[in-house]
Amino acid sequence: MKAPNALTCMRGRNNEGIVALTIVILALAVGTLNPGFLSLATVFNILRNSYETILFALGVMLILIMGGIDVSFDAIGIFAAYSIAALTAGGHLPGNIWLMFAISTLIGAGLGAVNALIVSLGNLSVLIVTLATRGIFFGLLLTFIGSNFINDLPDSVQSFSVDYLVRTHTATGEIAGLQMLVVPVAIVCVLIALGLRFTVIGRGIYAIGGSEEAARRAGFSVGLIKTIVFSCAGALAGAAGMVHVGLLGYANPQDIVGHELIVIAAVVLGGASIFGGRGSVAGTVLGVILIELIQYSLIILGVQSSWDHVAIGALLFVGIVLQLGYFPGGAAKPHIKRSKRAESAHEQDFIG
Amino acid sequence: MNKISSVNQRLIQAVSTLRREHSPLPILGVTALVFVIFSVLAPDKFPTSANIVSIAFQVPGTALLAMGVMLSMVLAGIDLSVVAIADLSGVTMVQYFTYVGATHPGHGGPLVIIGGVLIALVVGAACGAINGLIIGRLRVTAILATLATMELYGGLAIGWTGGNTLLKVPQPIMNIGYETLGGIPLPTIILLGCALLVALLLNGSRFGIRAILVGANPRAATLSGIREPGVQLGIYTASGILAAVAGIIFVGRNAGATPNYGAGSYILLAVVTAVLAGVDPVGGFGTVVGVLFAAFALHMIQAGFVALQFNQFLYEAAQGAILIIVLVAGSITQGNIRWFVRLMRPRV
Repeated sequence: MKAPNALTCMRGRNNEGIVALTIVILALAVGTLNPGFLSLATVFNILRNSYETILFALGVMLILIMGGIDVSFDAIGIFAAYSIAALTAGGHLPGNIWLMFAISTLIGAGLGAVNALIVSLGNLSVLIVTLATRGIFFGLLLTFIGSNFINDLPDSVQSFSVDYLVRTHTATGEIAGLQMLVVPVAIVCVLIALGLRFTVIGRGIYAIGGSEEAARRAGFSVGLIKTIVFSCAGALAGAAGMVHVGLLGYANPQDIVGHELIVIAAVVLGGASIFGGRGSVAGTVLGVILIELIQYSLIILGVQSSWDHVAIGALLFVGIVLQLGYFPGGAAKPHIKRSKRAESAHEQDFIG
Repeated sequence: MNKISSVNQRLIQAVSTLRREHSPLPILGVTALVFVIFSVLAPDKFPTSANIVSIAFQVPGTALLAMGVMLSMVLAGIDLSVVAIADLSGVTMVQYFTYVGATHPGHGGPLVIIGGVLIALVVGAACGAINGLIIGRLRVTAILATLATMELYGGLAIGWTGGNTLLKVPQPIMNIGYETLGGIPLPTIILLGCALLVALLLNGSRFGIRAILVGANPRAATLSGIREPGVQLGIYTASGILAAVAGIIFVGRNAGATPNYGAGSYILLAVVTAVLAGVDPVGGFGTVVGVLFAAFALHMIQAGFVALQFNQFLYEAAQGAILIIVLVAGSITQGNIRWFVRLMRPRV
């Protein structure tokens, strides 16, 4: 172990320092090019764009810490939110946005539990299982629930998008406000951070990510923890889908699916390791804000949105390389465990 | 010396048991079963020669993508960037045709066509080589590396074209979309040629044996003197070239280069095809024949759904369901599942 010096301390346990520094430098740079950029309105707008991604990203982060990549969250999110929107527009549910959030979260949790069940059914790869369930959820949504645009949501839901706590104006005179979702999203972030740090289940998630067998032998009930984590991730995705629908005021079933990479990029940038066992809420939130800041800046600077993907891809790559341990205080874990079979075959080679 | 040769022997043993474990026979059975089921359900629409030919036109593109994914799975990795590479190669090829058409009007000769195809293949190889270098040299996991490059390559295609479909496709390339040679669709002939080359590479060359050994047990392979980064580079380059061929076929079939063609849905299809073929995602085994039959079976299911007038979106759900069933069944036959073993144990 290296002695912690000032540089590693500032860098943070999961690159949080680097991400925060990048955010500040980028904001100042864009601010110099476009003086109207550095304003409260910009902060509010970027926050508004972030709520949905933060909720998705927290779910992805939980599963990533446990050692798997979830790609079904976008399908879960739109499945839950679109179903609720369809029920509400059809008059089967009262048009109360908080009730919609509650049910959407529950549906998400249920779909997350389905993921957990299938993964534990055969100790299968999370990526491949969630790739499959993503197709299943999305296909079932479009086949049986609906594939049409819903824009006749009740007024009480439509007005939610302009439920501001504080109002201000952008440089061009448009209204920008601090959407009230900031409160519940902040509460969720704090709860997850505390849960990860101070509960047995939270420590168990890191333990499973470090080594599943070791966690099992240390007495963590691995199956239970996995079920809880997948359900939580599903619940977060359900809530995030509802944020998407609530802020737009309409529901389009084709909306969220296909944008999952931005979320994964944010989580990886925020320092969560694909090998499991590393990751923090602060890092993930900073990662999301950095990505939303970049997207917002590209618009402000007049870059065509068709180049967004290149920016995100390059950024994801930078995030991955930063984790490799070629830099001071890095994870220093580039030598990878390949797979269970390879590991056990390796053991047999040397023991047997 | 002795230690190394015993490691080698164990490796050879391991490979031969792996081969026996995953025979492509089940997928042959599945393909036949799918054909029989849909022939019975839709006797006047499904088993017609027109339908079979139409399936044969659709299979090659996704089968080539799946073959790239299969190659990466041999190394216990996964190549998620194949669809993006196919799109970027196709876009580059058509950009070249557009450029030639604008600067040298009237030059549409075979040299220009061959030049365009070569450019597409070089772009595919370069994209694949970048993947291979990131994975082999920087030692980034394949999933993450190809996730990032998928966004990068796909983003380049979208940014370059501004998201529009390019339509300046010369006739010889468009012919790929509907010409047949002796009754066999042109894309199918291309696919079979590529399949032969991949089979020779994987099962008949030193490189292929090395790749299988690295996939089965990377550390033992490294200890016995195989340079893993080189193997990774070769496999991902091959995967990139296959994707580029798929990209050319897509351009021919669509009579245009769409920068985000198949983004999202085709990668699921490619992974499903590879896993259905019996390729194990944990590495050490690949089958070309299996991929061909799996791709054919999946496209038959799609055509069958159309013949039965099912909702088109149901096919996506069906793909996912098939993937899970195959994975769980594979896990059961390998005795990996505790609950199943417990269930099957005779009660005392």
